[in-house]
Amino acid sequence: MNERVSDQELVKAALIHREEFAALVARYDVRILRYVTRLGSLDPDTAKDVLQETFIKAYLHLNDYDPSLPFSAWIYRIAHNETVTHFRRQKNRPRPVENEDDLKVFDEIADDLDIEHESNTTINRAAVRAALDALDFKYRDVLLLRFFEEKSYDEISDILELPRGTVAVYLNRAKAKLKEQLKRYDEHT
Amino acid sequence: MDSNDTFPEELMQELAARGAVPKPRWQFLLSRSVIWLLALASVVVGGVAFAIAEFVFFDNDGIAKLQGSSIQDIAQSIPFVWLAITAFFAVVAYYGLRRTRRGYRYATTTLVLIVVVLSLALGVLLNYFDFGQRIYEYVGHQIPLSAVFTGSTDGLN
Repeated sequence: MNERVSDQELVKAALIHREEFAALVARYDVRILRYVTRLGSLDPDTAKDVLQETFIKAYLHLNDYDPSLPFSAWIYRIAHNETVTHFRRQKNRPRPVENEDDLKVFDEIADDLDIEHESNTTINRAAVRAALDALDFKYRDVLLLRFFEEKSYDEISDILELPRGTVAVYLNRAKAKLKEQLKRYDEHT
Repeated sequence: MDSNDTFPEELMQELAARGAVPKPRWQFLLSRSVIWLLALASVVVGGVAFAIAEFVFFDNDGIAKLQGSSIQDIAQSIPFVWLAITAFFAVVAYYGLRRTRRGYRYATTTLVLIVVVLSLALGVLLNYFDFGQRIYEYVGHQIPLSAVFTGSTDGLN
C-alpha cells in the first residue's frame, strides 16, 4: 500500500475489505510492539500476544474510530489499555524491558532533567533505568510516551484519555520524582 | 518505522480464523447516545431536585431564619436531602460527560462547573414556573414521610 495513503483512508478501505487492514498493521506493528514491550511486558512472546490482541480489538472496533483524531493516538490508546488489562489479569506490576535504543533515550532524559553527565555515561543510564523502575505506572507511562515514543502533549492526552493539563502535571511530577530518585542513586554510589 | 516481519500476515490469518468482522457502527452510536442521555437526564433530575430544594428553603422562610436564628433553625430550613440528590446527580452527570468521546479533554473543574451551573440554572428556571412546588406537593401526596426530604416540618401541610 502506498505510504501516502492516509490512515483514515486505510481505515475506510479496511471496513470494506479486511485485507486492507494489513497495511495499517504493517504501518504500526513495530512501534506498538516497542511501546508495549517498554511498558512492561515480561517477555517477547507475551508482548506479541498483547500486540495481537491490540490489533484484533482495533479491527473489531474500527467503526468506532473517530477520523478527526490521529489513528496513531487511537491505536496507542488500545495498546495501552490492552497492556494494563494484561497486567491486571496477571496481577503483576509491569517491569520495563530495555534495548539498545533505550539507552540513548536514557541519556536524553538525563539531558532534559539537566542532570550532570558523568564521564561514565553507563552510570547515568543505569541510574535512569533504576529510577524509571521505581516510578508509579502512570508516571512511567507518560515518560515513555514523551521520551521514548516522542509523542506530543496532545497525543498523550488522546492516548491516555486525560486532559492536556493533567498530562503536563503528570510529566512534571514524573520528572521531579525521577530527579529525586537519581539524587538518591548518586548518594548511594 | 515500518513492519519488517510476518506479523501483519499472521494477524490477518488470525482474523480470518476467528471470523472477525468489525462491530456495526450503530452499536457504538447507541452506546454513546446512552452515555449522553444519562448525562443529560442527570442534569435534568439534578435541576428538578434543586428546584424542590429552592422551593422548600423559601417556603420555610429560609432567608428569615438565616438572618437571626439559632444554628438548629438554620439547619432545619436547609433541605439537605434535596441538595444531596442534586449533588448526587451532578456527580453522575460529570461521569457521563467524562465518558463521552471528547469528555476526557476537559479538566475536572471545568466539567464539574458546567454540570453544577446547568443543574442550578435549570432548577431556578423550573422554580420560576413553580415546578419545584408542584413536584414537592406531588411527592408529599405520594410519600407521607416526605418530611424527611425537607429537613423540616415547616414546609409540610
